[in-house]
This record gives sequence, structure tokens and C-alpha cells, in this order.
Amino acid sequence: MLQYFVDFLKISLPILYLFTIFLYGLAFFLDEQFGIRNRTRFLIGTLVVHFIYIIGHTLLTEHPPVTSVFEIMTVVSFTIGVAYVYIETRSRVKDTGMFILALAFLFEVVSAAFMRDYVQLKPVLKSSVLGLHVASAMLGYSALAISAVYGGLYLMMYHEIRSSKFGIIYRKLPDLQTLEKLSYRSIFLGFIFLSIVILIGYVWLPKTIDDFSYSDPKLVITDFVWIIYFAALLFRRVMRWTGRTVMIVSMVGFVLTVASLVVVNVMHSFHNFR
Amino acid sequence: MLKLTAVSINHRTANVEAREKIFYSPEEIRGISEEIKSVSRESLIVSTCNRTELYLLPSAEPQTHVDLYRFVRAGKRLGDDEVRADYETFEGFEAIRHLFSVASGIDSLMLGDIQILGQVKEAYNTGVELGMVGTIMHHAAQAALKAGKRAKSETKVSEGAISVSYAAVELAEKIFGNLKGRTAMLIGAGETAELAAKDLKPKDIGKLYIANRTIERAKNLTEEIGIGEAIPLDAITQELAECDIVISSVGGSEYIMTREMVAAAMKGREDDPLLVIDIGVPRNVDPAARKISNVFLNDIDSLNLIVEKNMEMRRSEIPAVRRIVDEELNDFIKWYNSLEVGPTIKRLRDKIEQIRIEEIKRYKNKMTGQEAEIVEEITRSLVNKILHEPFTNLKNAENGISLVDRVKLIKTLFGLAEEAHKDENENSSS
Repeated sequence: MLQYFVDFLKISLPILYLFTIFLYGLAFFLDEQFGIRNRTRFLIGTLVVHFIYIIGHTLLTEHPPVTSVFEIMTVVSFTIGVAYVYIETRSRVKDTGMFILALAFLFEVVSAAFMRDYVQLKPVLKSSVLGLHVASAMLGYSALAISAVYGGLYLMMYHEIRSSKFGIIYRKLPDLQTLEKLSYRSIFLGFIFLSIVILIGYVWLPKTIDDFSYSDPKLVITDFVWIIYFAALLFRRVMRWTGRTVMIVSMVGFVLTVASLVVVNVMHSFHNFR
Repeated sequence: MLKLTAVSINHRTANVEAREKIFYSPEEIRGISEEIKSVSRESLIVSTCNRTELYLLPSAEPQTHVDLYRFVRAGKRLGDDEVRADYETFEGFEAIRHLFSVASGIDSLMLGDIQILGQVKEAYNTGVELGMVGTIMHHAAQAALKAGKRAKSETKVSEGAISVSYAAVELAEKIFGNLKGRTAMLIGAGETAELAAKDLKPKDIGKLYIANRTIERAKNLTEEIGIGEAIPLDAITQELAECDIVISSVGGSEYIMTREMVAAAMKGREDDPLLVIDIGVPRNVDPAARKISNVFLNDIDSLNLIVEKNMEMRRSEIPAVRRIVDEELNDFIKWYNSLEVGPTIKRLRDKIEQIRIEEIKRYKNKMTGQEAEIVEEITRSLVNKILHEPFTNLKNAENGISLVDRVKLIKTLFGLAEEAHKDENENSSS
């Protein structure tokens, strides 16, 4: 029974995200009152369903959905949605929802399409330190994903104004200053979480995993991503890098983050959960 | 039917000179209020730089549009040859619809003008203060203000700059967000600079430089607008790095700002974004400066494009505003028609009560005191029971017959129409 319920939610979630994006799109492109009034409500409803799905999945598999890249994707998708609701409430900027949630939708579709039944877990995965490690990673990835989307929107707006087009992007997106601020804050949060992930990893993993190696591909790439974001934050502060440069770094950093998630999972690594 | 008459002398019917002459200040409205009140139950005068309108509910004598137009002219002591102005006329609920359209900005010269809402409110307040506004105009004005607020919040009819100078400010806001504390420089001290300065001032900018070939002219402008520092044209290089926004509108065949000047300023600004708006024809700023990173160089064509797109957007919102006006008008009509129900019920009850009393009086002598009491009790109860259901249905029944028709039917069946007319005349004369 629970299996059917979880499977039903797994199929429903991409549809719910798609409809939420549709509502945000209605408001963005057509200023439809139905979209304007219901977009946030529907997003919250979708996130509630997503939360129930994660709980259902955890009960069914007897572990949280963090044991494969596709399980992680559904959690990242959920945290992107939650983080976006928080940003929308704080900043009152609603016209960027379509872009942020498109990313959440993408993660959810890939997750739903490729997630397979669980296999037996290693005992190490029952540790609560792992919970903190993984939760920080999820929040960090989500923040970096959001930062990248705002970075992309910043660059779109930048070119729209520089090329004197003044189309729907100019009319509907918030000002460059706001987009930069939202992206920068997300980078900052992402960086903090990524630091926690690495710290826990370096302190805890060597003690608990026999074949631990500092040259493990996932560790190396995560360190590399961390250095990129550290450099971006440092240069912004010390060398006063302006919005556009930081936005480009933010997008490059995110592409590398996704690459580290995907590529490393097909390479041999101690850093898997099975 | 609402016996409201309205005349409107507006931007479609009269040129600016005529509109100026017909404009009424609140003091001038006070001057003619007594005369208008002598022929009306209620009235309202809306007067702005683009329109003067008189709405009037006549008392006993009906007032024609020509009468109303005469009032408007006479109040300003304007002879027939002095002002050539045509006017538009509205009757009944169409006059109310027009008032709603005015308040929502779709009848304005500058489509979506938001000032009109405040002007309608001021007209209403003046009318209340002078005792010109009664129940109906009060309700009409409140509904008009509601329609105006809804148009502003539910549609984009008032969004986006529709003047070149404000488009420049809007563009700056799209880059910097809040302009509070930012530094701006206006190159030139002509009409464009003046308009831009007036649009920038309410944004609480931190510093404003006005550079001009003739420094006195720049000084005059700073004095006139109450902010800014006048500098000579050759001092712009020194101050450029400090500026976030530069609006240039001077004549001359050579570039006032070269690519090198802008590049040097950007170095001094540590690459912070710089908005340069070149309104000059021929251009004041080297177009090659556009290639420098974080420099947003836009010219008069860019601003015209913003204005054009905003106008297009506002025009596309007109049907949505009309829908709001229709909704508010329907609510107003329902409210107005409901005004008829109470008096009709009262008149019918009074009439039947009168019949009951007269009939009892006829037979009173043939009854004992106790019998008379019983008959009194029975007839009163009978009348109440008979009338209860028709009265309930008159107010609430969803039987496909409109409230207006139900009231009309009751009045016709029981011969109440004439009495109502008599009452109305008595009320208006009192």
C-alpha cells in the first residue's frame, strides 16, 4: 500500500512542479490574475506533497533518500523549492519563481525517471553525523543552484539593458542590484554549507571509512568547487569584483557542482552509499 | 431611473487655453455652490487641468445639459465669445460610468494618470464640505475611488514611465534599485535637464551635479529645483567617477564625453555600474563607451522605445479597466435600485393599514368593546401574515424578475407610483 502511495507521489510531483511553473509563467508573461493569486499557494501545496513523498520514501526504504545521486536530486529539488519560498517571502520578488522552479522541476524529473529501488546500506550510513553532512550538502547545493539562476537572470537583464531591448525581461525582472544581492546571498549561504560539508567530511570520514582517500574524485571536485566560491567571495570583497563577474563565477561554480554530482557517481569512489 | 445629468469639458472637447479658463479651484466652487444647490438635490464638480465636469441631480425642475454648461461658464463669468469649448454629455448611469472611467485614469490625457484619483477625492471632499454631495453622489464618488484604486492595483494601466525624463529615472532604478544616496550629473541646463532633475529629486538622490557651458544657467536651475551643485562643463571629468547616473542633453558637434573619459571614470569607480543617458542630438557621448564593461549607455531612441512600450502596455490594459468599471457600475446600480425597496414597502404597509383602520372604524359602533379589541387583534395579525411573504419575496426572491421590475409591479398593482412621485417632490422641496 505504502509502495503504491509513494510511487503515485513520485509520478505526481513532476506534474505538480510543472503546473506550478505554468502558474508562475502565466503571471510572468500574461499577468493573469489566476496565476498571480495562486502561484505561491500552489507552490506551497506542491512542497507539502513533496515533503510527504520524502517521508513516505524514508519509511518505505528505511533510510532517508540520500543514498544515490537520484535520491539526492529529489531532496535538492525540495530544498530549492523551500529556499525559494523563503526568498520570495523575504524579498517580495515573485517574478523569478518560474526560473528557479524550472531547476527544481528538472532535478525532480531526473530523479523520478532514474531512481531505482534501494540496496542494503552500509552501517556507517546510520550515523547522525552523516545526517548533518548530507543535510548541509543538500542546503549548500540548493543555495548554489539558486545563486546560479539569479546569476543567469542578472546576465539576461544586463544584456537587455546594454542592448536597449527593454522587452519582458526588462519589464518583469527585478533590478540588477536586487538580482546581484539575491545571488550573492545565496552564494554566501551555499559556501557556508559547503564548508560544513567539507569540515565534517575531513574530520569524520577518515575515522569511519576504511578505504578513505584524500585523492577520491568526489573530495577533490568538492574542494575545487569550494575554492572557486571562496575565490569569488574573496575577490568581491578585496578586489571589489562587480556583479557581472561574480555572477559568471556563480554560474561556472554551479555547473562544476552538478558535474561533481554526476561524474563522480559514475567513477569509482569510497564516497558512495552502497 | 437615476435622474443624473453631467457635462464634461475635457481634453477631447477643448484646447488647453479653454480648459485653463474653465478650471475651478475649490474656492471658485464655493462661489457657485449656492446657486447650484438652489436647482439640485445633489451635485459634484470635478475640475483638473484636463477637465471640468459638473454632475447634477435636479430638484423639482429638470436641468438640461445646456443649463449645466451655462452654469459652468457663468460661474467663471465667461461670455459666449470668450471661450470656444465643446462639451460631452452623460445621462443617468452613463454619467456614473463616466465618473468611474475618469477616476480609473482611462479617460485621462495621459493614459493611466494616477493623480486623477487624488483629484476626484479632493472634488468629493469639497462637495461634502459645501453640502453639495448627498447620499447618491457620496456613494458614486466612493465607488469611483474604489474603481480607481482597483484599476491601479489590479491592472498595469498606471505602470511604466510615459515621459522621456521619467523613463530615464525608471532605467536608473532598473540598474541601481533604490536611487537613495546615489550621485547623478546632468550635463546641460535646458528643459530636459530640468524635467530630469524634477523626476530625480523625489527619489532622494544623494548628490546632483548640474554642468553647463554657462554656469549661471546651471546655478539658476539648482536654485529653481532646490537641490544640486552647479559646475562648469570642463569640470565633468573630475566629478565623473563619483557619478552613478549621467544624463547629457547639450548641443554641440563634438563629444562631451569620450570613450577615454568614461574608461578613466570606471577605473575610479572600481568598475561599479555607470548609467549614461545621452539625450543630445547630435550625440554628446562617444558610442564606443558602450563597449566598456558595466557601462550602460542609452540614447534618446532607447528612452523613446521605453515610453512607446509602456504606452502600448497601458493601452492593452484598457479592456481590463473597463471590466472593473462595469463591475463597480453594476454594484452601484444594484445599490441604487435597493433604495427603492424600503420606501415601497413602507408605503404599501401604510396604505393597507389605513384601509384596515377605516374598515374597523366603519363597524366600530356595532361591536362591544371586547369584540372591537378582538377584531383589532385579528385584522392586524391577518394583515401582517398576508404581507409577510410578498415583502420577503420583494426583497429577496430569486425568481428571474429584477428588483426594479418587482418594485415597479408592486407600485403599479397597488397604485403607489403616484404617491411616490408626490413624496419625491415633497422631499426635494424640503
